[in-house]
Amino acid sequence: MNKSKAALLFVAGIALFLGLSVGYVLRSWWSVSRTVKEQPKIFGMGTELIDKPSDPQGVPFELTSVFAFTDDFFHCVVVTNDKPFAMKTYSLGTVKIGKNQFSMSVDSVRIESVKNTGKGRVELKGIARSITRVGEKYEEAIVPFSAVAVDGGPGYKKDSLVLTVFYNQKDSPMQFAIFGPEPRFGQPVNVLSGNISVAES
Amino acid sequence: MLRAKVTVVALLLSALLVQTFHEIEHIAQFYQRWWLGAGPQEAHGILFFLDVEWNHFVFNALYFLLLAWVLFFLLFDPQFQSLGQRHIGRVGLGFFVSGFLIQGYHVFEHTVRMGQFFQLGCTPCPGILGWYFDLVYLHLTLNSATLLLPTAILPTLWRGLKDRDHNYLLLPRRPPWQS
Repeated sequence: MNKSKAALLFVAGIALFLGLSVGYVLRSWWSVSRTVKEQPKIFGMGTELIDKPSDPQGVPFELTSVFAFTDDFFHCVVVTNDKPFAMKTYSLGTVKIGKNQFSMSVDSVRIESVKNTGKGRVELKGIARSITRVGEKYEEAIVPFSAVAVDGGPGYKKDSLVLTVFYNQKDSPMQFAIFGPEPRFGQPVNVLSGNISVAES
Repeated sequence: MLRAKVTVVALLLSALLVQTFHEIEHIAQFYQRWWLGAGPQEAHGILFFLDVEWNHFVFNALYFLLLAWVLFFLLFDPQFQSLGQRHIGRVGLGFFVSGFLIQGYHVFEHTVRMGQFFQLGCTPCPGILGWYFDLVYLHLTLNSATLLLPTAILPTLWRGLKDRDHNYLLLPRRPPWQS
């Protein structure tokens, strides 16, 4: 093979390699941006930190929930507590809860409004089924709720989800006694995995 | 004749200089990981805000392109034909080609990482070998290899540049006694 042919092959090889590499990256970027356009305007799924209570030895542990929502659905569930802990309640004083004795679920019966309240920030309001189990005690109630989700950018690190449930003594006496009238679940920048996506309106 | 040599040396020195800054960042990550005990997801170097997948991909692709450019000169420019005829030149060229091939693989790794970044939203992403090796140590090794191996060609190029009459790099096309 003469030198000029080899030189041409070399240049072609480099161009092909870098072309394929850059092409793959741009194709991935394009397919993701196209997928985002086809997604609902808002969606979120993942896990979030609800609280960091301390176990009987005083060691804090993470009480987490799994959540999922779109513009017509919302669900957030605390499956269980890994360790025993003491919880300050609204009207029952401090209650000791044994390991795997606490679970809670809030799932939407209907979404009444979805409002963009800022850049990457959305507020869902609606009616939810709120179920709480503490030891042997159990209550299921239909109550209003609101959830504020913040999309902090790609990934989950700057995302947050805060849920407020509106309990009352008539429809949800047990949960009212435990959590109070307007408990907030979650804190800012509390998402541990997954993603929250809020498209600009 | 000197112009091509100056171009090659200038290209290579620029590439190595920029790669040195890149290497400093990876050494900083190594220090954060190994000495300070930061996790692979937490060791972001000194300029932590630049430690993003896009930046690494673009940088490594450009560094690969610069090395390819230099290698093109070394392999195909008539002025460098004698490079393979001398032992020091052969060794230097061998190291340079090894560094170039490793950088090619490095670009491939970062291409895979870009795909993972778009699909999973991870930063940093594991790539291929990152599933099996610690990401910080792995990329420090790759970057060190691609910085040090191409450096081996510098003494040969430098001597060729310095000594115009008795050229270690460029044997005249015709021996002087025939011209």
